[in-house]
Parts: sequence; C-alpha cells; structure tokens
Amino acid sequence: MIRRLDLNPNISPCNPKHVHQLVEDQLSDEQADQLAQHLCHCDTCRHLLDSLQTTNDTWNETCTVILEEEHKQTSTQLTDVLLQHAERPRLSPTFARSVLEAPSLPKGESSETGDRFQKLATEKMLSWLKPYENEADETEEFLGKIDHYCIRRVLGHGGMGIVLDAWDPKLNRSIAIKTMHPHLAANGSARQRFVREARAAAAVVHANVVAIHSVNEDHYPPYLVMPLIQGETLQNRIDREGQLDIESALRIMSQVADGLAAAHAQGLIHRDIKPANILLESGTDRALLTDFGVVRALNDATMTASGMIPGTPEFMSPEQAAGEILDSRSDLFSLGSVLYTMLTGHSPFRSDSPLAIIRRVQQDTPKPLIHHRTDVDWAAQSLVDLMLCKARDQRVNSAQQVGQWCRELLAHRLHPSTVPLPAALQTQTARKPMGWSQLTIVLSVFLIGLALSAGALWWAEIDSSKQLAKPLNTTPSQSDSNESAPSSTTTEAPSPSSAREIEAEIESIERELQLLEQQLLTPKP
Amino acid sequence: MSPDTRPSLLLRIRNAADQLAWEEFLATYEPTLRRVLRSKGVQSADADELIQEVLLTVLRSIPTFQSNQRVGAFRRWIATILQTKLLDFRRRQKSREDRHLKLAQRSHPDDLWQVDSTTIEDLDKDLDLQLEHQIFFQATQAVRNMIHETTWLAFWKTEIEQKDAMIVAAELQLSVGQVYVSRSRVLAKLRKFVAERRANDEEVT
Repeated sequence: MIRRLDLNPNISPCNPKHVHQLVEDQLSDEQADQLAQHLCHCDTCRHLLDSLQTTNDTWNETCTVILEEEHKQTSTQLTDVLLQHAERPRLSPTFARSVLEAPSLPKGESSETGDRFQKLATEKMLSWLKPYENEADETEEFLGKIDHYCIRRVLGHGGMGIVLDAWDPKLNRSIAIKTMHPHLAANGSARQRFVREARAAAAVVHANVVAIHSVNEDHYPPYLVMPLIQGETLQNRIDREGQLDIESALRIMSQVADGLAAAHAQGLIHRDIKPANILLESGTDRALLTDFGVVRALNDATMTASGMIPGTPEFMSPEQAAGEILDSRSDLFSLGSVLYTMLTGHSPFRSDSPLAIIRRVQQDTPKPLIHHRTDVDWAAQSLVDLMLCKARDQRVNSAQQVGQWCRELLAHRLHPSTVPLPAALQTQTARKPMGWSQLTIVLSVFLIGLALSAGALWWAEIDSSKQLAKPLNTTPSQSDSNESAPSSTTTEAPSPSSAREIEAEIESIERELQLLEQQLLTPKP
Repeated sequence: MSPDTRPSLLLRIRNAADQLAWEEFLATYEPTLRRVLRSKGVQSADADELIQEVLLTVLRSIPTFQSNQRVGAFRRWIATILQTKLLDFRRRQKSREDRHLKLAQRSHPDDLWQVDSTTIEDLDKDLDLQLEHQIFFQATQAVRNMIHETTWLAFWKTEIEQKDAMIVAAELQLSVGQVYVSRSRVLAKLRKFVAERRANDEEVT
C-alpha cells in the first residue's frame, strides 16, 4: 500500500470510512486534504459521496428559497432605489414594457442623485459582466462585456432577465442582448428551457418576428442575441395614446398575425402574446412579435408547487387559465385580446386580482366595441368575437386567416365601394347581430325616447293651442322664420320648428341616457 | 448556539422586554409566512396586510399561549392564527368580488375560492416546510462568516447554483476533490446549525 502511494502520490487507496466521516464533518483538516486529493482521481469515492448526499425535492426547494432570499437581500435596496429614481425614457427606449412589466417603474424626476443611484444599481445588477478594457482607439464608454459583445447600457429589466443595448465589434453593429436573471439561471431546468425555446424561436424567420441571432448557453447566465429595434412596445403606445385608430390597429394586427402564422407553421406556440411583447419600429410601420417561449422557461423557474402563475393573466386564453394543454389556437385568443385592447385602449378582461381576471377570462364576454367607440363596424366586432371564442373549436382557426381578414377589413375601410367585407365576417354579423344585454339597452332607450317624444308632442300641442289663443303678432319669428312650411299645419302635427326642437330634445335625452348607461356599466375602481 | 446555552425562542419572546427575541422571531417567521401565503395564491400586497395581522395577534396573545408540551405546538398555534386570518381575508375578498360581479349581474361557482378548504394541518405542514427553508437560509448567512471564502463559493456554486463541479473547480482554481470536500464540509455545518435551531425553537418547556 505504502509502496503504491510512494510510486504515485496521486492515487491513494479508497477509504469509504473517510467519506462517511466527511459527510459528518468529522475529518481533521489534514485528513480532508488527503481525501480531496484522492477524490480528484477516484470516481468510486466521488459516487459514494454523491450517493450519501442525494438531494430530494425538499432540498431543491430549499436551494431555490435560499437563492431567492439571497437575491432579495442584495437587490431590495437597489430595487427601492431604482423604483424611486428610475427615469423612464432612459430605461425603456426600445423593449420597455416587455421587460419592465414585472416591477413597473414609475416616472420619477430625473436628478443627479437619481442618475448616480441608477448607475450604482446598474453596476450592481451587472456585477457578473466582464470588465471592459478600454482600447486606445475606442471613444465610446462601455459598462462591460459579455463574451465579445460590449455592453452600452441597460434597456430594461424585469421578471425574466435584463435586456442590454450592446455593440458587436466583430460585425460592427448594434444588437440587443437578453440575459436570464442570474438567480433564475441557477435553476437548471429553467436554464435548459430558456435555451431550448430560444433555439425553436430562432428557426422562425419572418419580417414580423424579432430574429434571434444566437444563443449562448455556456455563458452564465445564458443569453440571447437579437437585433436592436428602435421604437416602442404596443403597450407603451396604448398607454400613451389610448385606443388606436382602426386602420392602425388593423395594420398592426395583420402583421402580428402573419408573424405568428410563421411561428405556428414551425409548430411553435408563443404562449405570452400581449401588447408588451409586440414592438413597433419607429420610422416604419413595422410591428414585430418577440419573446417566444420565454414564458415557459419563466414558469419552470418561478412556478411554485401550487402552480401560481407569474405575471398578469389578462391576455391568457381560457384553456391556458385552466392549465390545459395548449395548441396554436390559444395564441389566437390572446391575439384577440390584443386587438380588443388596441381598439378600446384597455384589455378585455380587467379586474383587481389575478384570480378574478382568470375567472373573467373563462366566463365573461367582453363589452361590445361599440360601447367604447362609435366608429367600429360590425365586421370588426365579428372578428374580435371569433378570436375571443371561449370554445377553441369555434374560434378562428389560424393566424393566417386573422391576417387575411385584417387586410380585407382594412381594404374595405379604405375603399368601401370597391372592396366587399369578408364574407365570413358578414355571416357572423347576420347570425349574431348583438348581445342580449345590448339589445335590451337599445330597446329601452328607444322606448324611453318614444315615450318622451309622445309626451313632448302632447306638451307642444297644448303649448301651440295656447299660442293660437294669443294675438298672432306676439309670436312672429316662431312660425315665420326660415322654413316657409307650406303643407301640413294641421292640428295633429306641431309646427316644423317645434318638431325640430323636440327632435333635438330627444337627441339630447338619448345622449344623456347613453352617458348614464356607460357610467353604470363601467365597473367602479 | 447549543440548546443549553440558548433559551427557547418562545420563552424569550414571552418576555416583552426581549426586543432581540422578537426581532429574531420576525426574521424567521415573516419570510416564512410570506412564502406560505404565496403558495396559497395570496398577492403580495394582501400578504403584507395578512402577515401584519398574524404577527400582531401573536404579539398580543403570546402571554396566554398554553403549550401542551408537544414538539411543534408553537408552530401549530401560529398555523391556527394564520388559518383564522386567511379565512377572514378570503371572505372579505369574496364579498368584494360578489359586489363587483353583481353589477354585471353574473353568477359564478364558488369552487375557485375554496373558502373553507385550507385546514390547520395543511397550513402547519406548509409552515414546517417553509420554516425549514428559512432556517437553512439563515444557516447560510451564519455559516458563511465562519469559513474561508473559497470554501464557501465551492459549496454555493455546486450545491445552490447546481453548477458542475469541474467547472466550479476551474473557476475557483481548486482541484475537483477540493470542491467536493468543501461542499460536504459546508453542508455538514449547515445541517448542524439547522438541527440545533429547530430543536431549540420547538422546545417549549
């Protein structure tokens, strides 16, 4: 034994007892050193050690908790600082909401301290970046490096990771890098899924899908390289402008639907279609879909045993909310919610708690578009209805179809006389002209209007008979003015001018009723 | 930190003057309660409120708490308080929801809320699990300062971040064997800390 040890000092004999003692922490430092040397070469003892320390689910959960708590401890103060001092435009010029949505950053006045704090926070967040060595010919200042990419600044950060504005010196171009949060990347299955989904998304090549240039899984944390899109998210635009005009909404929708169709053709389901994941390129009219499959990686990392859903479920499909297995039609429902949001300025299923939203997604029919704007036609309503069908087999069945209809609707709006409405949307209209509740409202408004006009007529009659009793010259202008009214001045009908008055009155009553009805139907905050 | 030198946390927080004990109690139970509530689907802002209520109740009624001398009696008592508060909260939330929905005149099934389904046993089990996590986390905070930085990193990267031992060895410029040994030694220290703390915290005599 000793001989062998002398001959090759690296291979000492196996001593399982020492391995057991190591687990119990009963070895002296010297013994531990020896064992360490032995373990370098002895698979058997390494396996023994592993088997003595097999991890179970509880321990894995413990590890996740430790990571979370550790992360909280280091980032709580920094997040507070960011929340107080973040300057919105600086943090969200391009990807903005798509990454900011988790802790949405309120607007804050920009100040020198704010800048300093933000710089500090950014530095802390990116402490894992490789330092950037300034080369002589470089004039630009960089925060650091990831592999060979030079990082300019943070575009945003949220639940999933950080998005960085970077420079690729090899290809001489600006790019966006999306990394996983290091604490999420620590979860093995989330990391694998991030990479797997990124690969699948990279296979989708389409003008309306944000391309993925490359993915690096060997880096820690793993990251994606994407083109840098100058512009804003659809969410930002809606936040700023409220409802979009119908033409813009249809244009954006047709493009997003086309991009989605390309992804579906590859068998890829997006799972998280929402305005924050749709980018609008500035200067052009291009809309691009981003963040494919990322939600699945996020689920892996943050889903608790109870199946809590990360983020807001406002744009989920009913089957998604129910936790069922999804197919591409789930994306079409979410797309319908996006269309509704563009046309009304807010999502169709709103409530103050995620659970209540889920219930609304599963059970409620959103208010008809006509409640929010008067310039929509029934075909647009039909399209929204077809996309927001709770039963997936009654829903519109392909993204391609959605894109096609959007273009036809758009063409019809621009040239109503030459381009007919899509036939399918017309028949839908004929089958289901309006919801019961709406029908009731319209009917009641009509009836009330009728009653009021009858009353007004009666009143006008009394009034005019009173007037008749008076000398004629006291009311000259009333009957003599503008219209010469040659015909029916019978006792049944009032004078044309008073009829106009009555009409105007009825109109104003109707307007008031509509307002009241809207107030009634808008849920109080 | 052995059981005989450190009086039970329960005994100490009964002493209103022991501010440190209360802080220690908070440091352990606040995150624990938060995670239990999260696993029950309670939103963060609501959880804040609920935790406040639970902790206030604990503070107020700790002098009257009668231990039955069983292990885990204290935790179970907290689970009971938590269950009461959780039920109240869900009833409040449900009636608020109902009011909202009444306006839209829609009926809905009650199954989503499961108002009466969370039992004390269930919560006690959750508390137990989350306490274990929390104490392990506290153990990492305590043990970290007692050992060499590199040893700690070798443990942290392989065990918590679940990275490959070979890669970690290269990163830290250690041999693979040293990484294995470091990890095992830290783990053993953590386990010891946790076992002592738990035995101590549950001691009620």
